[in-house]
Amino acid sequence: MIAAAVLASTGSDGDPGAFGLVFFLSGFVFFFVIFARYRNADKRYRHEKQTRTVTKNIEVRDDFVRSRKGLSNRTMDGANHDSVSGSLNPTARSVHGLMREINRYRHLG
Amino acid sequence: MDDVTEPASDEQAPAPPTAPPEPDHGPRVIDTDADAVDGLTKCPRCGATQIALNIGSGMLRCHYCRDEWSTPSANEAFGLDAGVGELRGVTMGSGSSDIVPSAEIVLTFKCSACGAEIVIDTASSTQARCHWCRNTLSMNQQVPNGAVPDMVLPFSLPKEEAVRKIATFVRKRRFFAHPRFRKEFNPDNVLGAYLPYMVVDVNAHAAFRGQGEHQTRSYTVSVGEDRSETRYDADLYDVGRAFDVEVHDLAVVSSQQRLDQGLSTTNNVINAIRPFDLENAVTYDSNYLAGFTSERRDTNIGDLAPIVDAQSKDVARHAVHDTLRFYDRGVRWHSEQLDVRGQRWVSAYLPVWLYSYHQTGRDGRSVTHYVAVNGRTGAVMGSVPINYPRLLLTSAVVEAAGIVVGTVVLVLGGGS
Ligand SMILES: [Zn+2]
Ligand SMILES: [Zn+2]
Repeated sequence: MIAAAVLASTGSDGDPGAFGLVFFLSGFVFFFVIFARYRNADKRYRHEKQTRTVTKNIEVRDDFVRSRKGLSNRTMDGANHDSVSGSLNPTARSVHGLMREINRYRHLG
Repeated sequence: MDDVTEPASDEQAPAPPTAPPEPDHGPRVIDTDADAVDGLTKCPRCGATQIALNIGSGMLRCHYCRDEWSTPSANEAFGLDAGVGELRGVTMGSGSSDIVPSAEIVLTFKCSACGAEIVIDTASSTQARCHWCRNTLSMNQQVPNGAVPDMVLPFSLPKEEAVRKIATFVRKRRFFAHPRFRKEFNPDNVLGAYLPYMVVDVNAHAAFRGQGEHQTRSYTVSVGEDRSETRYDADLYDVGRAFDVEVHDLAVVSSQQRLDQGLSTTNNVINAIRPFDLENAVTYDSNYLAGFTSERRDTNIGDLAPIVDAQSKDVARHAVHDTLRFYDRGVRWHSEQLDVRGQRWVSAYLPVWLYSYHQTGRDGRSVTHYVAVNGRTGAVMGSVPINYPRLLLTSAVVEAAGIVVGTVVLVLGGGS
């Protein structure tokens, strides 16, 4: 299960060196996998995908500007067509909040 | 499943039967409690007042004569299906009106059967039993305190099924669960709760402008002695999309406390069990809530409008994804405009089975962990408190093992 989690987090096409490095993070990966599974703090309703919409009268513009060569990123810089701004829990899932939670509930009983 | 293209929709925009006196000013109001009666609501056949939802049939049932009936579909009664594209300005159900701060939360009714004074605490219910004659009193007329909404979506998932789903959800998360939680967990304590939502239809025009990139080539270049990297060529385009968009049934929880979805709450899991089949909501009747608890709406349209606007824009942004497939490297919008032409707000109670567990930290502050089940679809999501000593220790062991394996991989891989 741990190996599966580590593999899942690397993706399939990392080079062997990077794949080796992921093992050095395995404890952290394990922690976050379990935390996510138990607390589900990242779960939310995907309103942007689940809401029924009807679009009409669409006008499109697609004008070629220029070709770009030798880019090192696989995706466009600053692409935001997938962004979501209206979620009710966008920022609260911070590392800071997690540390506070661990501190508060480290005791048993 | 929804008949958007249905041509024979000659009901036009929902003309409210009782038009407000000055149609040019303020929102248009759909009167949703025109026939509502407070006090004793009686079985039409035998006159008894003990009436409750039969989850199996989705109808109201008389406890005595077993007669069953239901209230009309809210979509049909209020014309909610029709004319989102024709909405102009703000239209709202009368049960969505602003809460008047002085409006009473605890209301007193006179029992018309025996004359006794009966108190209904609208924070958790819109019904109470008369202590003297045992009749049930209902509050169905809308008082501006947020207790009576425009419509209700009755439970259709039985409690036993919710209990089973919660038990299964927690069973899969036992090993790292907090020991006290493990000891005290009892899914039979699940409560049926009607939570307040605002359901909004939006008619808008969207205009997005920006740039997009389409990959034309990818290749490998060598950098330095024995390292290589991937490079990409792409065509850059100016991209624009302008369109009319109808957003149907955007729902936002309308309780202040539930809107807080930070890490010190687990309200986000309740949000995650949506969607609800809102098209099956019916006009409000307190008898649907008999045996369940409810939470009063305590926010107004003005409080929720910024969230609805932001979510409408998200919905519009995603609605044009299909037209952007060519831009496989993505699109960067510089300008995103959403001109809202009309909105229709309707308040609703939606059904949720809730298991709650109260956990108090050593600083005295506490978190309520919920496992929530959608009272219609059975979708389940929850939060289980963690045994951090056990999780941290196990993570440390995993980390140590990972370092050993990683070192071996590095040594072997580095030599090649
Ligand atoms: Zn009856
Ligand atoms: Zn009485």
